[in-house]
Amino acid sequence: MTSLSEFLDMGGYAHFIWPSYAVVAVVMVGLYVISRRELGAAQRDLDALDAPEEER
Amino acid sequence: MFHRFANPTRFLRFAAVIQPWIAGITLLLIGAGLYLGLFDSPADYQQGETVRIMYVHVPSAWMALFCYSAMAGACGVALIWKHPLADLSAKATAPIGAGFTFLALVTGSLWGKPMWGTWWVWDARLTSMLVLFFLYLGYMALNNAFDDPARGAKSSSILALVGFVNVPIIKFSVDWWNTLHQPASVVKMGGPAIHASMLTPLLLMGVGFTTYYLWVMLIRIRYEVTANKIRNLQRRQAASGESQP
Repeated sequence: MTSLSEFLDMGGYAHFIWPSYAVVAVVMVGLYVISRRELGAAQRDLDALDAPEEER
Repeated sequence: MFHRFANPTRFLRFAAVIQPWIAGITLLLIGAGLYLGLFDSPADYQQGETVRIMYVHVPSAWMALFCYSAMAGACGVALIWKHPLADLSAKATAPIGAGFTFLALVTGSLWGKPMWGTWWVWDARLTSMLVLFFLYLGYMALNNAFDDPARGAKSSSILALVGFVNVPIIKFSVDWWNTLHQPASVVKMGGPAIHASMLTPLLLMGVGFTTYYLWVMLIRIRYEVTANKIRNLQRRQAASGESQP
């Protein structure tokens, strides 16, 4: 277990190293998720605009 | 052969085919880079373990410049040849580039505190990166500032091209001025001044971040094309609605 806590401690620099990796993960995953959601919403809007024309 | 993909419909079909491949390659590259960077590379003899911040900081900074260059290039194509896909790809690139610039600034700050003793200094490299971040934000704001998307695209393209002078300033700032920031150690005359055990994860992350950019850019271009179609349809429906009694 010491090796894991040693690894997580990062030679005493854990406070700087892990937040760096965390902010990169948050921004990159977040940008992907937001882009995916925007595309999905736009595709649903387009289908809604396209479809009901015959029904009306 | 370039103009074959310049047609939006054909581009969308092409994008749908390559997107899962790019996604897979991105996850593999970044996974391998993270493994080597965190577990299988040595601590630096001067900087200790903080050198591991390099594996996310340097690729973010590379991508900040790469995305801006791609965006300015696309803006140039859009202004000269009026190609619709060029405008859309510039617009799709801007938030990704802004994200990478933000990451380069934040991870740099987290690296600067333990190594330089300060979160921030107003030196040439750091200040010009901050200017780059504001250029991205300015581009996005100007692009959305007009009711007519064509006018927004034109004004923001001009801003992006003028702002491109900042890119060589960032690149050479560490050589032109005496700054706290260290000079380049990978792309330099006489080959990289960095050991293979550190260079390999750095390059894996760099290529992985590049394919990540392509991956998210494809999604964002597909979004922009769809949003354009919606605008056109709404305009047509509004026009046909007005003509009826």
